[in-house]
Amino acid sequence: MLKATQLQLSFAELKVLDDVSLAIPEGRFTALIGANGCGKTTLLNVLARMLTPMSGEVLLDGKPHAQFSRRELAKRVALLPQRTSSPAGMSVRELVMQGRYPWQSWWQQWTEKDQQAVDQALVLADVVALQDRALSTLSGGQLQRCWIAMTLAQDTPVILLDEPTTFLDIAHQIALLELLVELRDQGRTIIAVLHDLNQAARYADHLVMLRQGKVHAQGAPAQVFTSANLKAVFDLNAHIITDPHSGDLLCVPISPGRAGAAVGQAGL
Amino acid sequence: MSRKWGWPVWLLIMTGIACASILHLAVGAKSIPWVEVWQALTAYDPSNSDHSVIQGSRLPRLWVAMVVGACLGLAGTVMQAVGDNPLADPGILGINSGAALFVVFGLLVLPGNNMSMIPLFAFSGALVAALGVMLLAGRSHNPVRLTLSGAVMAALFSSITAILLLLDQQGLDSLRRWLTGSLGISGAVLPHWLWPYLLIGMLLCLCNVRALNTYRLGAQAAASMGVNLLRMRLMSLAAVVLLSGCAVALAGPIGFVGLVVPHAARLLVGNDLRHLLLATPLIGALLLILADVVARTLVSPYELNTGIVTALIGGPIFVALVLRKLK
Repeated sequence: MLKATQLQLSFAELKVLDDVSLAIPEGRFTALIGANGCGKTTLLNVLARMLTPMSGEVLLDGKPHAQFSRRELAKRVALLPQRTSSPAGMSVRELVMQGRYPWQSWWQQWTEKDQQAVDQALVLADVVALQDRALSTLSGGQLQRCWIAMTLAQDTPVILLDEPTTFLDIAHQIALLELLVELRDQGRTIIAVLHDLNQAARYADHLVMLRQGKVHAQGAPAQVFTSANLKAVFDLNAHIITDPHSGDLLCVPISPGRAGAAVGQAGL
Repeated sequence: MSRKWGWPVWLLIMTGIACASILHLAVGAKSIPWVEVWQALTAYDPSNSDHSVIQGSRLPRLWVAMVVGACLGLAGTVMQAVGDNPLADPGILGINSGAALFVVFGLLVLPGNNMSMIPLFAFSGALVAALGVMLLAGRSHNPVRLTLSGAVMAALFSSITAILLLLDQQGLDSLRRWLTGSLGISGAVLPHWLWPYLLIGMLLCLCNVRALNTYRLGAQAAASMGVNLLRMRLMSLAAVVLLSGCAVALAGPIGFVGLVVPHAARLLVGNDLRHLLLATPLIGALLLILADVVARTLVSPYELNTGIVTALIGGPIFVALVLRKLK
């Protein structure tokens, strides 16, 4: 469905994406992980056609990205940006209604379907109680959930999210990840930049590890979520253990200076 | 939220326009009683001299005031929305001065000109000024830089205009009043050529309203929701050029209307552009009618130029907006 071939992109002298090729599995949850500044956000923006690569192309349903009009693309791919704003005098409901932009036109104004999509998005993102509040009165986490609702109202088969769990407390982080899994089960393709490695390993079906603008590894968590890869991508020493309750993989960082870090490293 | 106070606001605006219009018709060099004004409108008697003053000179001037105010209010709103800049205004950003310069240049210097070419001069001047300001302001999203670029362009165009007028003393007399913005100059009639440009300008605003609304969420979010940013910006540019050009061609460069009107409208109807684009032409018309009443009565029997009155009203508001922004 969404496929990238040999993407290259530089900002001035800096190579941000270097020969990135990806096949995003359809109807699955893909997590992009990597150290700060490794090109995750840039890659997400290229996949959403917010940035144009200098070479290489992105194929959506087998068709080059560039062949879609903005509106047609917005009916297929939604993007939740990392930084969101709260325009003065806009209510939560009005914000979520903006998500219907690509579906409306001059001869087809607000329809029953638009209404349903907005109502449903408000419920899914758990912001029904906030719907009449002004955006400027919300906390960071509430605002983030409202923007997620807007992204959901866009009702696209592909949803891209850039660090969607930022600003959310732990309960809402888990609720959001469960929601993404639920959306995946409905057949949507989810691609999210995630910071928490354990959340990525637990909820995603497919991990893409980026290192300095290149794809270091990609595949199912069981295959790529290894100490060797984490060392290479994050320069992090960690064990990978299995959660005795759920069987999910967990990464446990090793602190070299602590007693009991039983790896035989000289603890200085 | 969206409709701040709902329909009473619209009723208030319409009532305001009606009252201001009757006031506009009644006052002037000779005060005419309200009853006479009403009769002149409803039961026109050509032999009555008061009636012919109203029908012949004051009513046409009222229409010019309404159209110019509506154009400037709408142009200012679109500029503030698309530039995401609360200080944008066709006067402050130099668009009016550019249009005025081209009109003066066309009339004084170009051979074979005639009055029907004024709008074309005005549009090309507005376009050149808009592109110049955008070029100076650069791609950085900095309201202060944009405003400063506009001020520089406005000063530049005004001084070139002044030089042109120095070279042609005869031109000075006929154009001086026009250049400070006067509703009494255009022969107080709405020319036929105006309507198509006006209509296209307003349609462009209307076609853009949803895109501009979504653009409030930021350029990136708007683009990811399917807004064609380039098309939205080009359409807005065309609308601003047409509307400001029409206003300048009719009454010369009148400043600050486009600045003040959107702010007033936001207080009344909220920030939703669907309501703003409807309210701002009305409030703009109302403001200009009132400004013209003041212009004609403040130093009676002399007459101030309307542009001077709007500057007197708008200047302090501009300062207040800047101070609030800096805080």
